[in-house]
Amino acid sequence: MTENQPGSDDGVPSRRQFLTALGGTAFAAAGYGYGTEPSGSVAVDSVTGSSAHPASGEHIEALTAIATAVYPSAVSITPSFIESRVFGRVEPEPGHFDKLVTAIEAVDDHAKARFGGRITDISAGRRRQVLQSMGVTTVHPTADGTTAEQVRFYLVGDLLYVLFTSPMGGKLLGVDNPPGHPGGREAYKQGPEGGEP
Amino acid sequence: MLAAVVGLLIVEIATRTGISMAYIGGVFVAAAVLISPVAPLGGVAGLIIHDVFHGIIGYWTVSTTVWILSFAWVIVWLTNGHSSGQKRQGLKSMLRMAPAYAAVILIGGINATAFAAWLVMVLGAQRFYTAAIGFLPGVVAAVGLSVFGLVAIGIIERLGKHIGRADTRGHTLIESEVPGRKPSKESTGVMAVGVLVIGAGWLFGVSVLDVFVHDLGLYPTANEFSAFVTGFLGRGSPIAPVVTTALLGVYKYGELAVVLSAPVAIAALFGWHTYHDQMLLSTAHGIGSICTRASDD
Repeated sequence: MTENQPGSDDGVPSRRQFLTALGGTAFAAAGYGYGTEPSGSVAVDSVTGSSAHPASGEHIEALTAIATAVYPSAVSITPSFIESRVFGRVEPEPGHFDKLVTAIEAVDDHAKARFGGRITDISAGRRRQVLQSMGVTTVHPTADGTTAEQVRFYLVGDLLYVLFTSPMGGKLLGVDNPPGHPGGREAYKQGPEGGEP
Repeated sequence: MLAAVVGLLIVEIATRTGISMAYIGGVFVAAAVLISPVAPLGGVAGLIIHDVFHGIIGYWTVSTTVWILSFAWVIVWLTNGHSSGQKRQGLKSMLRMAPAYAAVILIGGINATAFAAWLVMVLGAQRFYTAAIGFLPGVVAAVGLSVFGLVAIGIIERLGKHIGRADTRGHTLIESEVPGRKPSKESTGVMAVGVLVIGAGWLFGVSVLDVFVHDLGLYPTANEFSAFVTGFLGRGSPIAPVVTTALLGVYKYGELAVVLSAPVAIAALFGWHTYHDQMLLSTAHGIGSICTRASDD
């Protein structure tokens, strides 16, 4: 059919296949935003992921509200960031997202019961009080522990993970190229001290 | 009914203002001392109505209810002996009674907090020590409000005596009298000390154990923990195997010990309540016979 057809039989990619693959990679990289400079908001760095997760819009809003209590005040957060970075990633293990949703509901229920409203309706300071009164702030994260330990493991752990694997969160720690984030072309153009290599 | 309505209002205000339910529980318990022993029942009814009305019944409802009721119950249990036959006698007696009542409320708070923290843990919501930390401010509130209230009542009554008005207040714990039951002050005091020792051992001992066991959970397996302990203590020390075995025992059975703490402590409380006179008599008899033998020799 083509002049390269015999070459394909040898397991060596043809020129057309090579160019197609190269073009596809470039297109994917452009779509992903690879190598672009991150802006001041972590939300800009969000990755559009799969929507096949068990969280509803209310869960995303609640998790965003909790994030404002967990994250440093320097970080501004948007629901799209939470949805794309938390629920848009590959599920760490089967059932992880379900347990995360359960943890969100546990915090929201506690806020309704003892702080007079949903976690989204109360102030950031009051949200911290909710976590404290649940005992979340004084326990180790344990996947199969008490409700407080599970909230610490699934909810607080995931929020911190997605923050510190994002460029903005990495900058808070002084790490421009955090694990889990490709870092971009700029990171490779800099020397160890941030200067020229 | 009125107490339930007042309780409902207080709980509603507390939730809207973010005041910890432990403080509200402390208020209800102080009401048991100052107003009536049944006042906490109204408060608890208000709490349950609030949570049912908002559709938010959860472990917090159960644990707070149990904490308030057990707190008030221990106080009533101990003060029936303390104050039976006593009538309020103005500021002087109030000032005398206030420290005793503060001690009794503290004892009740310690035991109730241990029990409620255990319940929260068994319901799977929190660890023992975090739940205990959540309830303890309420004990402080109950003690503070009760002492303040007792002194205030004393001052008001003294003023009333000067003016010559008769007392029209209700029947409070302070003046409660149980017909036909007048245990001696010494016996009641000894029993209260026993209840304090058991409760304090339960609350603080199990809290420390729970924190320790929780931290040991950072080692995923017993073998890893054993390797750490062995490395830390070394193999040359003669006590190393004993300490390692003991710590491994805590690692393996510490959680179980925390869970079993409540049945053991409750059995100890009722055992002390029932047999403390016999225990003290037998101890005194034993000491007496030892002294007699020593003098004979």
